[in-house]
Amino acid sequence: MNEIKHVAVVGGGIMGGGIAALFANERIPVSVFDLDVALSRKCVDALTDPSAKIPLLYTPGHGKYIAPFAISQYAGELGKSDMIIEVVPEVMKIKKAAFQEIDKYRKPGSIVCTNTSGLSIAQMIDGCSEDLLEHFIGTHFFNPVRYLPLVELIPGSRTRREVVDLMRDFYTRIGKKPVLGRDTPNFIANRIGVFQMMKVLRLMEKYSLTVEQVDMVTGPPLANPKTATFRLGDMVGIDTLYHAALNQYENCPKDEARETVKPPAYIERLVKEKKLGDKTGSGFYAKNGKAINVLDFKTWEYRPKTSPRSDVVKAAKGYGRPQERIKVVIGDSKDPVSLFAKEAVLASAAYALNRVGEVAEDLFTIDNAMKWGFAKEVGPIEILDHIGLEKSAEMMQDCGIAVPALLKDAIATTGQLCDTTPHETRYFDGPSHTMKSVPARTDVILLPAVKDRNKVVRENLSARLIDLDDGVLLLEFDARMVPSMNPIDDYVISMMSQVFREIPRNFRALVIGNQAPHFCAGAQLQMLLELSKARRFDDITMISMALQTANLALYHADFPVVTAPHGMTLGGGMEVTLAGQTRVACAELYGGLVEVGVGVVPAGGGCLQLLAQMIDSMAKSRPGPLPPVLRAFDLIGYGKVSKSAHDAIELGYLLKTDIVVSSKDEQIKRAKDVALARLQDFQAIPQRELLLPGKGAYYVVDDQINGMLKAKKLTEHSARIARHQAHILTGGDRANPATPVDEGYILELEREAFVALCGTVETQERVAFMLKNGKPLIN
Amino acid sequence: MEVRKVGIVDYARSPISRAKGGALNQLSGLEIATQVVKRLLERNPKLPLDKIEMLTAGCAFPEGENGLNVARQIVVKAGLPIEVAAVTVNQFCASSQQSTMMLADAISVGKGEAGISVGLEHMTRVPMGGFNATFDKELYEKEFYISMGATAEILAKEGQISRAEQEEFSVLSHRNALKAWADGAFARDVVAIDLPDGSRVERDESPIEPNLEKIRSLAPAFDSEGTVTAATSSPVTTGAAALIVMSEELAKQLGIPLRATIVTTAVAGCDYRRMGMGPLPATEKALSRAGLKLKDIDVIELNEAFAAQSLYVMKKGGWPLEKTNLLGGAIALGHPLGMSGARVIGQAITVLEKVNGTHAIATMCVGGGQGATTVLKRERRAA
Repeated sequence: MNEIKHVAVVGGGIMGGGIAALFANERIPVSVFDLDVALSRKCVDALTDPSAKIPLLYTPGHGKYIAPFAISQYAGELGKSDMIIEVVPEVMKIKKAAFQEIDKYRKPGSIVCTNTSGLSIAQMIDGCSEDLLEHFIGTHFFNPVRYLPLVELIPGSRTRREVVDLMRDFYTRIGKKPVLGRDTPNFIANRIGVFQMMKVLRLMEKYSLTVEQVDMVTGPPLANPKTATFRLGDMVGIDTLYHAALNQYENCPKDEARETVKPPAYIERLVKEKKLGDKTGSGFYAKNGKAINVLDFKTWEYRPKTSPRSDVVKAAKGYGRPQERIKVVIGDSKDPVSLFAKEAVLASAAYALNRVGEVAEDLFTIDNAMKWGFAKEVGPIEILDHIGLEKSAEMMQDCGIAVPALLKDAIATTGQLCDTTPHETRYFDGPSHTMKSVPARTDVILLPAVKDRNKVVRENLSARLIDLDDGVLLLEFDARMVPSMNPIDDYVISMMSQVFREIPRNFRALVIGNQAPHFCAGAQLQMLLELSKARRFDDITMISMALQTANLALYHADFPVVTAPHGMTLGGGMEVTLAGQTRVACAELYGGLVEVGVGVVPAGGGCLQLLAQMIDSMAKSRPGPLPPVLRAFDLIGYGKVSKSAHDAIELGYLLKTDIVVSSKDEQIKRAKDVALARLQDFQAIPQRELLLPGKGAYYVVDDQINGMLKAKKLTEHSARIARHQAHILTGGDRANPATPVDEGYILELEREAFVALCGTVETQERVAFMLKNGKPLIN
Repeated sequence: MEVRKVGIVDYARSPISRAKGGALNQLSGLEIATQVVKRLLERNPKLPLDKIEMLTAGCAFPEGENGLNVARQIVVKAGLPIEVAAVTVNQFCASSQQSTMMLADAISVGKGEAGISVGLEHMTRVPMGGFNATFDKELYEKEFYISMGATAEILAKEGQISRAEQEEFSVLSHRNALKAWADGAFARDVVAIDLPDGSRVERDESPIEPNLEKIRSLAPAFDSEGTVTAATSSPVTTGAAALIVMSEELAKQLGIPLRATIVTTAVAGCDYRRMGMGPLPATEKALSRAGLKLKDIDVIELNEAFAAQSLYVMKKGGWPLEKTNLLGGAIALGHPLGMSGARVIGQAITVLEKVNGTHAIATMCVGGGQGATTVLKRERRAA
């Protein structure tokens, strides 16, 4: 067995659905089995619901790879699958029965997996066939499966080595992050996670904090997601949390923190009263219309949520690096919030260190599991290196936490627990008292490693050119001032033009990409706002023209240009993406021309590129001049954002011929390969003429805008922006269905509209609002 | 040329299906219309196909799947003799009223003995406005392309028609339509349409038991200060209808009774910003040509583009509600633009028979500022 061509998922609950979607997204057919077909059909329907809040499929259309079945249909169906994943309820008796049945109908050699989140995998397959035992492995996913990369691989005692290897390679290839764990209760991430959660509950009592205070500090200030503690609990389900904690309490009798993980009475009460969190509508929090209420554990009543303040949290927000934030938060010896945070961080580090050798081979695996399964920016152990190991030990003693042997050993020998460089991660190995190395992947291009090998050709404050070997140059956006958004600024645009100086010297193709959290979430707005307020319209025109020139030069370049968008790819980021002659997109792409949100139109060539692309891709059906314009208008007018790269193709931001990769790690390498492949018979794309419908169609759109205005479906300013968009997209004053216009004219229209809108108070308000609040204003 | 009596032998229509998830979305307008024509001819075996002079088809947006002279496509697809002439007619909402008028006019002066008038519209697959709409600058500035909703708002204001009145009228339309279905009043009118997936559509999809609370809570659809809502406008729908038009002479020869004769017809222009009032001048013209007074009319089929528009016409013209749209109107049934002309004529005859009346008018307003009216007389056979 070395290829997964067909998969069966047994159990169509939330996790079953998420796992089924994972394969459907890879276009691997998957059968979902449940007690009856109605149940499995419900699972498929939920996945393909186009209004799903957290879409698990790349597009609803990917649902066609999932077929619903009843378990009574095993006989004819189960034998088709190369891999069978059990996702039935977390009750040992049910699991055992499920595997007995699966064993009867599976084909020999097929891989059998359980998604149990913490039951003993050895027990559940007791009595199964030899062939099943050898092909059995725990594969534990995290919810929501599409967005959390961790997969814990838990081999059984008889599992063949090649099954483990195949799973690791397969999941890595589709963009997941597998780690190897051991068959211990709750495995790695949930074992530590349950402890962290329960410890936080105890510390909350100790320091007399409120639910809101705890969530305020245990989120981003401690390098965790915004869901922090209690919102995470509501999301996961308080019953799930309760059962996981109970499982740990009952099955880890020697655990030094056993009493800590015993669920407190109020958790038990919440479970009894079916206040389970999001799925029942109330838990730690409850919605009251638009307002949010929070449970008071003492009075057992919901009261309005408060917004607590804290100096250390406020101070921490000023730091981009998560390690620095943590250090600031735990650094105040008088503030109870800080003391709480300090004890939580140290206790969790100590608990994690004590699990090394028990739940996983090494501390590196534990840190990774916590980062990939709980979306933590920093692992619970590696933070100690940033605090300082000796200082950490001292602080642990202050808090009454026993200093773990591993920490003591590290202090005495290497002085380090964890050390990450671009080429490797080194971690403290207990038995040998040395630092062991895990090399970074070399089969893909990881930019930190490339940069470390002196491959940077040019560099400025926000971008650099990097030699990717084989004559391929990489243009990397790296806006160090705003790394989370990676916006386009003057430096980026300057670097775009410097490409044309470097390519003739040593290179033959260009990739535009990066490995930041997001490809590029737009253009720098601060400067635009200042220029707009100062009414320096010539300068604004120059900004627009600079990006237009850079983008169009790349599109028409006499060498291959491949853009590699991923994550948020908005506004100017999407315009650069569109300038690629070919795109290699990461499947997780949230891309769109969203300029309307800040009151302007795409004016870096985005209107032109999208319009030309729409006309080209629809040309076969001879739709006439208006339909491609309306499709472009629909995207730009509403600032639509794709839910995946596949969705971007359906919307029309990307072309069917563009390439989608599931694994972000593999994107740059793939983009480089595509760029090299394009060298064969490469021809520059000539200047285009666009046949647009002209004024007559503008009036049609204008009429619709007026109608929406009258019905108050638009504000005056939104209508004004829409008119500018329509003017550009229908071809201004020059186009008519018999007279094409050239690229330069559309670019001119972009600039005119851009400048006109920047001069309005309402657009300036939109820009200012976005800068302040990070979300659009509709005025 | 001598003028002869012309009448209608039979009428059939498809069920009318909704835009969103409508069953008829599986078929093209051509396919739906062809099935209706076939069903109609099958149940009139006494009509020799070689007597059919021409098939006229009314369609408000005759492009895309309804393009390429869809009338000729229907002739061939329905298996009519190749000699049958075909013409597609566009007069927006009155398209298939006009296609009927054209046949009646031709036959009345001896240019042919029989014809088929078809009305069709697929408002989902060929959207209102067409695929490549374009406006003339001068006309645009004169508000010639004013939206239909805006014209309804103007009439509501000028006629002082309140939102409550419009809602009451719309509720009545739904209740009448539901009752008609319950009573089997459409048993002859509506023919089932076969779908590619093997199922059949047998019933109109739009009429529903009105939810008053929901109706009252809707935001105005066209003007935030206005009174017209989605509930008081005819819904976007799809369907086809067909009439067999024949000279009285041929009917007698073949022994086929005429269900009604066409007394006269009229189309009149009016202000395009008040297009909804079109039935008033058109009906005035038609009645005067027929030498009839409104009180002589037993049955009125008034196409309900909007409740406000219908109420305006009824108020200004003094039209009695108790004679109007007794089986429900377009607000409940739907208004597949090109189909509605044939429907109001056919439905007027069905109601005439039901109430045992003599004269009916079928009338409608037309975008761009027109009204069209057909005056019908029920032919009573000697016992």
